[in-house]
Amino acid sequence: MNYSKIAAALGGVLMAIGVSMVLPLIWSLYYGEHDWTTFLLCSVGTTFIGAIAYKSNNLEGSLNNKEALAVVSFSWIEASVFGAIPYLLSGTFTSFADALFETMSGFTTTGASVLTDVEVLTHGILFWRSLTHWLGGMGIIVLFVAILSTLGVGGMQMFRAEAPGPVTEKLKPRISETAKILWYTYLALTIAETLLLFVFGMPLFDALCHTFGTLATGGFSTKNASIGFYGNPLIHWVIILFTFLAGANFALHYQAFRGRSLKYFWRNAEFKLYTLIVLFSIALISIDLLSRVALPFETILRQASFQVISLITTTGYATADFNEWSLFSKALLVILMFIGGCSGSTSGAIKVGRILVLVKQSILELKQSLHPRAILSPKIDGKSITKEVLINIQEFFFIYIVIVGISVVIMAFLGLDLVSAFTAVAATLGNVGPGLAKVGPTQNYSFISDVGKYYLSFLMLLGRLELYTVLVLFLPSFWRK
Amino acid sequence: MRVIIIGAGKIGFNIAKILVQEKHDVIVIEKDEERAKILMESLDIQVIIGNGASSSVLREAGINEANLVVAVTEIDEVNMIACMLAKNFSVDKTVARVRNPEYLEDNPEQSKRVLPGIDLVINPELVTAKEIAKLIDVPEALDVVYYGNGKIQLLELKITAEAPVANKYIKDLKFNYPYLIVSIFRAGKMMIPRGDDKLLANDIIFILAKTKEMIRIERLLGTEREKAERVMVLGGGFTGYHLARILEERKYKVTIIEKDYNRCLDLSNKLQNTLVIHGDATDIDLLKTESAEDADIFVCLTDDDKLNLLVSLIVKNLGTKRTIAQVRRSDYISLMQSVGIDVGISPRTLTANAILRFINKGNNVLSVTLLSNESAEMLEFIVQPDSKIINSKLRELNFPSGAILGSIFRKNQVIIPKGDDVILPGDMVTVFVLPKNKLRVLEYLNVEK
Repeated sequence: MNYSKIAAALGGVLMAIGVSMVLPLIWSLYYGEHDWTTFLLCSVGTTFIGAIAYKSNNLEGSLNNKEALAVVSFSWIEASVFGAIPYLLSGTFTSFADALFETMSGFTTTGASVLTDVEVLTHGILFWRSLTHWLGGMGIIVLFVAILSTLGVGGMQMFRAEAPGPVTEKLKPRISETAKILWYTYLALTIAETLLLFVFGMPLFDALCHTFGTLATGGFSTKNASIGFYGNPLIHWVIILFTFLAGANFALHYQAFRGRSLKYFWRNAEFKLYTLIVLFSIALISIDLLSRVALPFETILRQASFQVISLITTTGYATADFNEWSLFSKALLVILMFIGGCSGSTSGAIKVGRILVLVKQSILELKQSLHPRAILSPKIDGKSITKEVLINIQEFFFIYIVIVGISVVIMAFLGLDLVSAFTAVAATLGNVGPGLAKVGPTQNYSFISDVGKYYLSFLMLLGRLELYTVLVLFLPSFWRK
Repeated sequence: MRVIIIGAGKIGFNIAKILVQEKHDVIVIEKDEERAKILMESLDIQVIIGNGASSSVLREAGINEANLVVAVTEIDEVNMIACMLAKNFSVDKTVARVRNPEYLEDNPEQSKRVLPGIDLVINPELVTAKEIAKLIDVPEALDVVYYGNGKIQLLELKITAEAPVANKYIKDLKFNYPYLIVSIFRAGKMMIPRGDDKLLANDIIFILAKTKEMIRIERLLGTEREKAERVMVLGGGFTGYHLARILEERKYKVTIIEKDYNRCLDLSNKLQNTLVIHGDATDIDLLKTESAEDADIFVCLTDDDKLNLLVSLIVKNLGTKRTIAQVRRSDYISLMQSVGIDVGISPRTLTANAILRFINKGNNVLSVTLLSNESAEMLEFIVQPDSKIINSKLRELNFPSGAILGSIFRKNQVIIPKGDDVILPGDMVTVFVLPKNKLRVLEYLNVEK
């Protein structure tokens, strides 16, 4: 392992983080808030440290697989550590555990918060909070690969280690071009949503922050009541639409845009299943709500759609306190938290693509017992899935469930009741944000001990980088020469 | 017409034989001396020994005066190169046999575009698969041919002993739908029946009718159509693959049995809904586990005629309704059909047919179909204004013997002709001909080829 190369790459990522801190600085100056000095200091400091690491080391030649994995995991850790400093310097948090939890939650697009009142925060801090979502959503490494076109094969390794989903497809022959296209698509959707929200009456600052929260499937809001604060149903519907889009594969958005046709979506089995799960869940919860509460049909449909899409895409925005809903609806929502959006989206959790493969394979296993000599191969969109990918997905599912199991026990040991412990783990590992009971949509994670916060932060990282990238660092042979 | 045939295998031989009968000049290029000698001794043709993809050999064969090149060697690349070279010598029409699906597109028109210089790309496995698929759609028929944009159907059917029409005079068969029995094949002889001929059990008849009415006519003939659902295929070669792909699209439930494991993997990856079974089809337990007895149609496509026959007999014995088998040696077909295989298919005959159909498709001839292992032909052509057969009632025409007018297709309407009907210029008509009368009939009809 070449530590010099790793340090250089980490320096490069840090510079990107440092430069991005200029944006909250601008808002801070615009609103004339006292903490602009914090952002100036952090931005200059972070960029400077990054530059030293980048310049004093050498990133020439390609990174190998091990180095790429190390770079990705450590980039996310360093981004969260340096990203936590503005919270500490501005006095938002006094404890490092809180600041790290909030930043990790931001970058991993979890949206779980330890803040009880966000409306007292300065615009600079609120913007930084939402910006971490936006950067982490499409991915800091993907951004880094897009900016630095000289990474070559190492770039592909890093890209694969960060991008969600079992298979990474290249849209262009060069990985750097692929990364650029994804970021441009992301940017285009960001501009579209911001404009729409602004048109429907949201102030520009709020519109930007909430767009960051939706497209990254994050969940940080600038209001204590989350999206529920805004009364205009159109705002809710816009956010429902864009959350749904953010849960789909961004490569599909690009292809559909380039081909000027929606057929790319309908031809994609994963997208079809995703849509089907969403519609089915909305229908079930709407029926459940209709039988219990006396609200106009549109309101019920909107509430059901918002919550279902918010949770399946692992966003975590809320327009209703679903903790008060029936056990049936709550159970359904918890299952959605495990499913997640599509591969290649900004969402977390297991992903519909993996579920689809697992379901198909299970059906084939049943078929195999009827036809012992049959040669069966699972197929998605007419293409068969290789043995390696299949095993990778089965292992992923197994490890995911094992980690949930162990983590629930740990959280219970730290004093959480079973529902809170279980949903806190599901919501952080799946990058969702709110869970149920004590960590429900109107609650927050501040009551959990520091150890618990560090552990949940770790789960968020595990979930965002889809287990393997982080877990591999724990193999002793990874570090051996 | 001057024709150069490259490759004197079974297909090349068949085509040469038929073209010589039709009085064309045929030159065959064959690289194997032994094979060339056999050819020279049995047909009145010129044979050149050499590589057909070499331009000097082609020049020696007189490529500059040739109108048609048919490249049917065993090697795809040789066939393709030969045709491309021939086009450079400005030959009018070129035909190449290409077996590897990797060179082909699904749509023949596209294949023409990706393989410049080849007017007809013929893929024997695909032709065979398409033919079998046609038979699976009409499972009771021994052969199916369509005319008039698919609105006219010609079926080859076997009259069973229990059929209500057995032992009846043709003139006594009063159906409410127009139809025409163009021919009866009985005891190895093809004949054109008259009203006072009887239909006997085990006769094989060729019947023409409107496609949409054929089902009802069949019911009256006692050859009820039973829609097939489950198809089992033995042998996962190119033909098996193409067949499964076509049947999948038509929503049949297909099972392929193949004994090579890697081929199974490949098939399983390429096919969407077909069940691929790895195993040996002579293993009766395997056939039982996969419930071969419930299959509506069992298709044997291995390269081994004996194995195809054996497995057909096994599954027939287990209770499969119908068996179709590929037969390499076309002379065995009638024998195999007499012991238990319902339909025997010869890929080589089919390929030769397809090539001949293309060659004959000139001027006003729309198609030529060889029927029942070349014992009869069906011509489809457009009637010209100067033809002898127009503007008088059919009963007044002096139609030559050994031929019968089958159908008339006029302005998208089907007419199954009777004595009072009249042929008009521009009609698309089909005529059934016995081979020995063919030239005379063509002369009478004034059909240019």
